[in-house]
Amino acid sequence: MSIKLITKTIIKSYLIPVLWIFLISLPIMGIVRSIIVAACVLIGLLLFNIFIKGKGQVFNFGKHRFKPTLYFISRYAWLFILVISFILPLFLNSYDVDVFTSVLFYTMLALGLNLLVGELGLLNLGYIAFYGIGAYTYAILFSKFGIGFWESLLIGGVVSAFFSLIIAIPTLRLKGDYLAIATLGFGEIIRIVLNNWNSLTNGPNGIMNIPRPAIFGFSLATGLRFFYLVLVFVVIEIYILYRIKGSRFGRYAVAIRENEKASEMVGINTYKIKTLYFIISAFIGGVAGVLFAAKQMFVSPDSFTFIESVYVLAMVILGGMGNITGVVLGAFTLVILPELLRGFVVYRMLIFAILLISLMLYRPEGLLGKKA
Amino acid sequence: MNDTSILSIKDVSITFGGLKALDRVTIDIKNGEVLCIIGPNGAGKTTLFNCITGFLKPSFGSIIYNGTVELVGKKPHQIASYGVYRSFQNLALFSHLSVLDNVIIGGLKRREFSYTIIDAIFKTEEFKQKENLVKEEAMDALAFVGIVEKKDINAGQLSYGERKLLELARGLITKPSLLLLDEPAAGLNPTEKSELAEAIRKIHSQNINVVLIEHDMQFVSDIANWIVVLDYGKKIAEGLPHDIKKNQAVIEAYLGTH
Repeated sequence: MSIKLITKTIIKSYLIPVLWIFLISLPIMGIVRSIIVAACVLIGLLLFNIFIKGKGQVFNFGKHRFKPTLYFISRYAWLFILVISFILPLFLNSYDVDVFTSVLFYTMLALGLNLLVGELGLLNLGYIAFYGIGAYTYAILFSKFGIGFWESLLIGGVVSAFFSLIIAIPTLRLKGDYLAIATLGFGEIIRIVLNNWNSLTNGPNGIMNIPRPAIFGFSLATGLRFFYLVLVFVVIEIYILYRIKGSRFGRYAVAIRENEKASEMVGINTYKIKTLYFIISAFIGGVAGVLFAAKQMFVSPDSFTFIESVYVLAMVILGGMGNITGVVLGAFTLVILPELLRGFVVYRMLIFAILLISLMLYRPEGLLGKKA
Repeated sequence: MNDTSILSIKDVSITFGGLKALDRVTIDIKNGEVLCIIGPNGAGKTTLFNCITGFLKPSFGSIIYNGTVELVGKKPHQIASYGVYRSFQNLALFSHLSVLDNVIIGGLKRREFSYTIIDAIFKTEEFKQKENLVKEEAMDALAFVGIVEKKDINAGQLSYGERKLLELARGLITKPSLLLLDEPAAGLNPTEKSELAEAIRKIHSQNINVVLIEHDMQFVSDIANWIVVLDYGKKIAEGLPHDIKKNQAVIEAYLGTH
């Protein structure tokens, strides 16, 4: 590479974006914070270009050769994130802990939905219904029968899975857009039923006074303790999903997404695998729902609207379909970003929208998704 | 070799709208045969394959596999699990997966490689052992067709000829007893064609029955020991390769009567 070309690349891919960000943030944030933001962007760009764009390339620095690989990062990143997420909440105020708890809830949901959308390529627009079924299962079991949290956790998952079976059997014969519409309808039906079945669900007023759990007499009622409870569930979920992904069941799913005809031909019962994935994904949604009901101590149909399904779907797509790390990152970004931007009041939604649009323009496959 | 038939197709008919795509086709495929189905475009050859493998349901007739199993009305994955594998005319690979993964997926359905989801979650010995076994066998299959050095690249990046070989390797790992190949030599250059013929002969010598659809008469007479000719959904002739070449009805079907 000639010097001229190098200068040109540096100006084009580093100087211009960094200056642009600086100038844009200057009127909003003042000079010091703008410099910090610009520096962050610069570092981000460098890391991105070396580790993601330049993956597999060899860089020569005189005698030294440097081959960037994602392996190094991915190997230790998980451990790092785990340690951080266990320690960090201890130093945060209760509002921030709440925000992070909600990151965990969305992570659970996004990972569950990713099984369908990311792994199998089945668009489910009513996923939040399973969350709602789980939440209401706990609320109703407790208020009507006095059944506790831990039993409800299992029952909530199973009831959710059962409902998914009801929806899966007729709709899995549908393809593409038709399946999306059918699941959208299912999600709305569940919400409307919850809203109108007064004798069972107390209608739009919801069910109140749901208790938080305790474990062996140790109360998990505070925000911080509840955060750790949900964190443990997320860790278990991620582990199980990783194992499934690396097994023959994960391979079947990818095969079906890639080429359904070919999968049939090598003897994969595509219908059965799709149903299995539907059930696992609904089970996850149900368990998350029970946890959510315990967290809020209150359930109402308003928490399970269509827009929530879209929000979870956005996390899956933003993070990179079919990539577990990416989906976690997507959930994190979409919950944290609006919170970070809270200081800019009027600009908040504008910046959020610009970020999302530029992501879709420049990385349509999602943050960590594979290029198709 | 023995005289039992691996597949007996009897009076199979199917219509699309008013068109009779297959009209009372009867073919008996003997064990140990390399049978080739030829015929002009639109003769119903691929439709016949679709009927055998369950992608289409014949409106009439029966297809008996191995003397006992009725294939009509069964689902494609069930038919595949009996040991019938087919390749597609325009290839059906998992193009975004690696070559090795393509083959592994083919083998995973076999009973000796299957494990439960619980084994997978707890990473039991059984899981590790079977994953290793299937990987080894997949490597063997790739070595058999001669593309083992390409194992880590995506299937979509292979050349056309290599993709055909990959489809064959994926078929082999399913341990089929009947291999249906839909125009395997189409689009290949002469060298690739002779490699393919060699591979098919090797497959046949492992007691796998091969049925293929083909246009290239040179290729056909090279490897087939029985030929069936279809035209407008009807069987118009069958016999040994050198007899078929002289058959008046066949010549008319290909060249037209006028």
